[in-house]
Parts: sequence; structure tokens; C-alpha cells
Amino acid sequence: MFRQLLLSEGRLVWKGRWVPVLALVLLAVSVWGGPVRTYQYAVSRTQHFEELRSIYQDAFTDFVVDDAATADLREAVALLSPGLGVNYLLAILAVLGTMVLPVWGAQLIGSEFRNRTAKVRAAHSGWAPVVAAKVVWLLLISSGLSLLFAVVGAVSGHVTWQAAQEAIWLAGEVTPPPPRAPLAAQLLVPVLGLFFYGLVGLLGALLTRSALAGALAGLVIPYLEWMVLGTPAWGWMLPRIAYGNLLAGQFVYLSGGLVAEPLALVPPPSPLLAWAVFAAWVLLAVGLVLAVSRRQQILS
Amino acid sequence: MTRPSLVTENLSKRFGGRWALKGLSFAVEPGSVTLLAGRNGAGKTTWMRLATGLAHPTSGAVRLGGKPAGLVRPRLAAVFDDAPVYPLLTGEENLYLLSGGRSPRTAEARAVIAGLDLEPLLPGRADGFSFGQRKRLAVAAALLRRPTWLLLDEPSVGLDSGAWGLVSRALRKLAAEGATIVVTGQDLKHLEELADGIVVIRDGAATFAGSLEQLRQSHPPRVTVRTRHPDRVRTLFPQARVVASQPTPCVEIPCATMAEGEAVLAQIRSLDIPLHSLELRAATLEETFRRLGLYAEETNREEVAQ
Repeated sequence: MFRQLLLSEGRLVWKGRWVPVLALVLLAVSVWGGPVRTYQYAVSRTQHFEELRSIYQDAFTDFVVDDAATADLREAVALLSPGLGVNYLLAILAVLGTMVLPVWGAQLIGSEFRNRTAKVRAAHSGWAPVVAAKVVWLLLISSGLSLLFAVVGAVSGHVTWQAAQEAIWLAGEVTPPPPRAPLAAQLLVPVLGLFFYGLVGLLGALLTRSALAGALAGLVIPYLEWMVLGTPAWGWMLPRIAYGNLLAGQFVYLSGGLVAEPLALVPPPSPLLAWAVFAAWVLLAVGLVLAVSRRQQILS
Repeated sequence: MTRPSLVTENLSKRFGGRWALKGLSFAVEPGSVTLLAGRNGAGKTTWMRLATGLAHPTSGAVRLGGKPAGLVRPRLAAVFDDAPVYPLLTGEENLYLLSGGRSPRTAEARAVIAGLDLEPLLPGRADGFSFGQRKRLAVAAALLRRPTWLLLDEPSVGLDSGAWGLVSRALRKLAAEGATIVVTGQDLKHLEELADGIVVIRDGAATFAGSLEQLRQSHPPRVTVRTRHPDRVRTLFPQARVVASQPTPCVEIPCATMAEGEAVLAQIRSLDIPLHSLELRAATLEETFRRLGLYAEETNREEVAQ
């Protein structure tokens, strides 16, 4: 029966259109704001050096640009390499996705209340199983997005690197840094992050019976957490900082990129603890959602 | 006697300080259609939510085949008064989702869809459907589940007589196959043609539970006379009462049986007074309800006339 419910939910997600459409928009924004803009930045910096070269060529026998002057250009070019293509796009997803998934999570539940279909679904399938199926789909959406971004990142890395070799004279001299973590770990971070913040939006919508309120809750809670609690010494146990620790631990951040390394972190006693803490937050959110759905009355 | 298929046992539900249901009890046999009737706010919709497990009772229980709704969901179906749909999805997609994942493409499903004249709606987006079309879609979604228990809240509201004919035929067929059907509503003219039994709720409790015939017998037929000489009629029948005075006074004489009513008719004719109208009618469910005081506006009108 739960399999049937999963299929129904899948059809609702797909036929609702907003998930595939917004996924494509998110991907387009990420690719444009990420590799494309970084490439454009690197090319414009290169052109700037070319202009300097043409101006000063007459005054000097040899035009020398030292490493300090080209450091940020080298980092931007490194981001365009195939070795960091997946890293770059997944790091973008891990940040932008946490702003989109609360909206999706809230929408999954809020649309049932807005359309007043919650009572029919609940009467025919039970509200807790319906919500559980939505939670599974939220995880599938998070995983699917991570895989999609990884594949696009791998492809874009090759494309941008090829283009950089032709357009940027420095590209041949750049040796990109190795990825900071294995691919599986890089994939798992946005999966967990997107799923968690999606769950926060979903839980908000479940409690308030409103997609808008749920989405706002998902978006505002991390900021509230930061404003109210700041970065205490035990801050590595907070979800926002635990997630930041995971990002900093798994991704390479270089200048010229769309996203930067998270600030105001509190490192955990051991790197594994960052995973454990954030996984615990995810499990807590899943548990809360299921517990609320089991007790919730559908009165309208 | 058949074992009841649906039992409501001392059911109470409180919202804040207000009791929506207060010790409601009744039982429904399989293969029957039961009308749950009462005034607005009597607790019919609350019962529906408790019976389908959407809300938790303050005390008591509704048992379907001896079990709570949560344990028999695959065999339970519900149609709600507002017939909600996913507006951006097609009729067919709505049928699939609202029926709990039952395919609308099987031969059996096709028969249900044809029976409710829904084929033209299947490819269209639901945001263009009228309320009546959504209602038929909701009934079809419920029937696709092949339910043992089907609960419908105000099923006739929003349907024209043709559409109601299609729905009531489908419901009758399902009951004939052994399903237990409970309908709530106030559109008694339509619902009394469908129902076998009736439960009347007042102030959150059942004031009558039995067959429609038993209810009618508790409110016997009456002779209605419209004449400018009501006093002559009342002299002959002291139990008669004037229920309206404009434009022509109307007098009602309750009778124990139809035969007694025939005799009353003969006596009035023998009075040799001018009559605007004279009729003997068995009480309809609607009239019975008025007499039970379940329609506030009618009760007031009668009180004013008296």
C-alpha cells in the first residue's frame, strides 16, 4: 500500500510541474552564476592583463606578472577544471538548495491544505502515510538534485576547462588543488542539507497548514538561530553550524566562485562529529514530522 | 438479524468549550443506505470526520466491521461536501490521486466513469470544472476504491436532478452489492429516495434511528384544507390547526391512517362550504422534519400562524 502511495505522490510531484520547472531554474541559475560567470570573470581578468601588457610592452623587454597579482585569477581558473567541476556545482547547490528546498517542502504539504485535498487523501490513505510518502519524495528530490548537479558539474568542468585553455593564457600554468573529500561525501552533504531544510519547511507547513508560513519558517529559522544564539563554543551542535562544518570539510572554495567558505564556524572535536550531529538533526526532523502527522486532526 | 457493519458508540467530540457531538449512538447494517440528518451544526460533518479518522473523539468510537477507520482504510471511501480537487491536474489525474492510487483505466473503472457521465471531463484541467462536476468526480474517486464503507457528506448539494440521478443510481448499485453507505444532508427531497434508514441528530445526540417508514409512521398523514371558513372545519375537527392565514386560511387535520384521511375528506366535502383546495397527503420526510422542528424557519412560521 505504501508503494502505491509513493507512486501517487511521485505523480503529484511530477504533474504538479513546479518541481521539475524549479529544478531546471535552480540548475540554470547555478550553472550561469557558477561556471559561466567564473569563466567570464577569468576571461575579463585575462583581458585586463592583456591590456596592461599592451600598454607596458614598449617600456619593458619582458612583461612580468607575479603570482600575487594573478592569485585570484589562478583560483578562478582552477574552479573551471574538470577535477573541481563536481565540487563547484555541488558547493553551489549545497547553499542555494537550502533556500529552495524549504519552499518545496512547504509546498508539498501546504498545497494539500490549500486545495482542501488533505481530508480526502487522509480519509483514503491515512494522513501519516501520506506525509511519510512526501518525506520520502523530499529525500528523493534532494538526492536527485545532487546527482543532477554532480553530472552537470562533471560535464561543465570539461567544457569550461577546454574553453579556458583557449581563452586564458594562464590556464596552462594552473594546477588545480585536489578535491577535499571523496565524491560520495561531496554528494551526501547537499543531500542531507537540502533534505533537512526541506523538512523544516514541510514541518512548518504541517503545523501552520500554510505553504507560505512553512516556507518562511524554513528560510527564517537559520537566521533566527544565528541572531539569537550566535556562535557559542558548543555551536558545532547547532544545525546551521554543523552544516557549515560539513561544507567547509568537504568542498574546496576558491576566489572567483559564486559561493564562499562558510564563516563563523565552530569546529567540532572530531570531523566525524559534524556528520553525526547533522545526521541527528535530520533524524530529529523526520521524527517530528511523522509524530505531528500521526496526531494531527484534519478539520477543514 | 444481520450484524451491524458500522457502529457509532456513545460518540462525543468537544471543540474548545462546545460539544459538537454528545453521546451519539447508532448502528448501520450492511447493504443499506442510511441518512444522517439534522439541522446545520447538529454534528453531521463532525461525525463524518470522526468516522473517517480525520479527527479524534473526545470519548466513544466509530467502528467499521468492528475496527477503527485506520485499520480498514483500503475498504473505506469518503466524499466530502466541498469536493476538493487538484486544480492544475486533469480529471483523470485527479481520479487516480483522490481514489488513493486506483487506476481509472480498468474496465471496472471505465464503467463507473461512464455511469457518472465523466468521460468528457477526464482530459480537461480540474480548475475549469463546475461544483457539480467536481462532486461527480469525487463520487467516482470513492467508487473506484470498491469500498465496503462509503460515507458521503451532502452528496446531492450542487447536483442538478440529472446528475443526482446518476449518483444515486451508482450508490444504490453499490449498496446492492453489500456496501454500507451513510449520507449526511438536508436535501431531504432527494435523499429520501435513496435512503433505507435514517438517524436524526439533535444537539449532538440521536433523537431517532430507524427506517424511513418508521419515521413517517411516527408522523401520520394529514388533510390540508384551504377555505375562507376555517371555523366550520375546526368545529367538526377540534384537533385541526390553522397553519397559514394569507391569502386563504389553511387548516391541517392530522389523521392516524390514510383510510381515516379518506373519511375526513368525505366529511369536509359534506360541509358544503367553498373550498380553494382539499388534499390528503402522506407526510414527506421534509414535512416530518418540519414537524420535528429540525428546520428552524418552518417552525417559526407555524408558530406565528397559530
